[in-house]
Amino acid sequence: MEKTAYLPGESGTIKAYFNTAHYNGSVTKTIQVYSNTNGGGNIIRLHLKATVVTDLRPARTSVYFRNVVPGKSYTERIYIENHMHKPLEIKGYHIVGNVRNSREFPLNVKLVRNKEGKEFVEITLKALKSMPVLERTSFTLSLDTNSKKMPKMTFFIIIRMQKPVEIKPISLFMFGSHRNATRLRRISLTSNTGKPLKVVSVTETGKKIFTFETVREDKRTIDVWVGIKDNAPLGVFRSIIKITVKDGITEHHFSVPARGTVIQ
Amino acid sequence: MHKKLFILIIAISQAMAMAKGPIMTFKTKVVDLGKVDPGKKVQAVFKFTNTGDEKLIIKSVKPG
Repeated sequence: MEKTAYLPGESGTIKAYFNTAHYNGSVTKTIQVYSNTNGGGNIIRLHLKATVVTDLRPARTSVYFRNVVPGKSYTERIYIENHMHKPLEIKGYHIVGNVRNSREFPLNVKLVRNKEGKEFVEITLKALKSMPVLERTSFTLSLDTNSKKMPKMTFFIIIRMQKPVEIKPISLFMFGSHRNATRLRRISLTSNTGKPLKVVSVTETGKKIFTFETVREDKRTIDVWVGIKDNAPLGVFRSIIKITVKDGITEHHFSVPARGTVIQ
Repeated sequence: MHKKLFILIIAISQAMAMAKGPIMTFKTKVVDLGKVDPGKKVQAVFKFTNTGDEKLIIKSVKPG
């Protein structure tokens, strides 16, 4: 669109751009034009149609590595439908886009051919021991291929690290809690690493109204039971329970918000 | 006097009925680009003419 106002009889053009990356086969895109015709609320819909012809069709374009534990290795295999009339070659690969902490993830890409000649891209993630425990990282992996139509094949990579210690629930609602009630609510801490957990400290912010009791359920799980003191002030409370646990030598800190009311 | 006023009212109402406002007439509302290569930025051009009798104002163009 060159300008926004057109006199009667005047002509103009609307140009629509469409990036064909990640599309395969026929695609229709809609463009909505808002103008002052027909009393202002008028929307005219334009359609852009195209058939994206690829000679390499990956079975999926995103790869999800779930519950990744540092020190372990993970492999995902993606089938590539090859219409090139020649074997697929992967000349190289690199990570595109903003990787958090600008840190390269140790990925390895390999082309695998099975007995029937089907081609697969194998992406291996070697989770380093020193890998930062980010909850989720995503980036784009670009492969250089020998296809003229698709010289770059891209995959969206998602890595979700397994939390070493999980806590349940993440917040407490304790409305209508009686005074001097022990074992009212339970907070469970579970170790995913197999190392036994040890509670270092349990504290609370604000008025000291809670009683805490730690119970070992099994090797992996520790329960922190929350109760109300017999001299807790009546009425509404809002505080944060802070729990520190240790698995081996690493300390993990958790904050559990707790809200509720104390009744007689 | 009454007759003249009546004719005037008729004339005004007719003029209002004829007023079309801005009309955006597209040559085509669907552009088929046919076969395109992957990983390219392709362009479609939609030609239009204001066939109304008032100024046409385009407020926005959005994908969707």
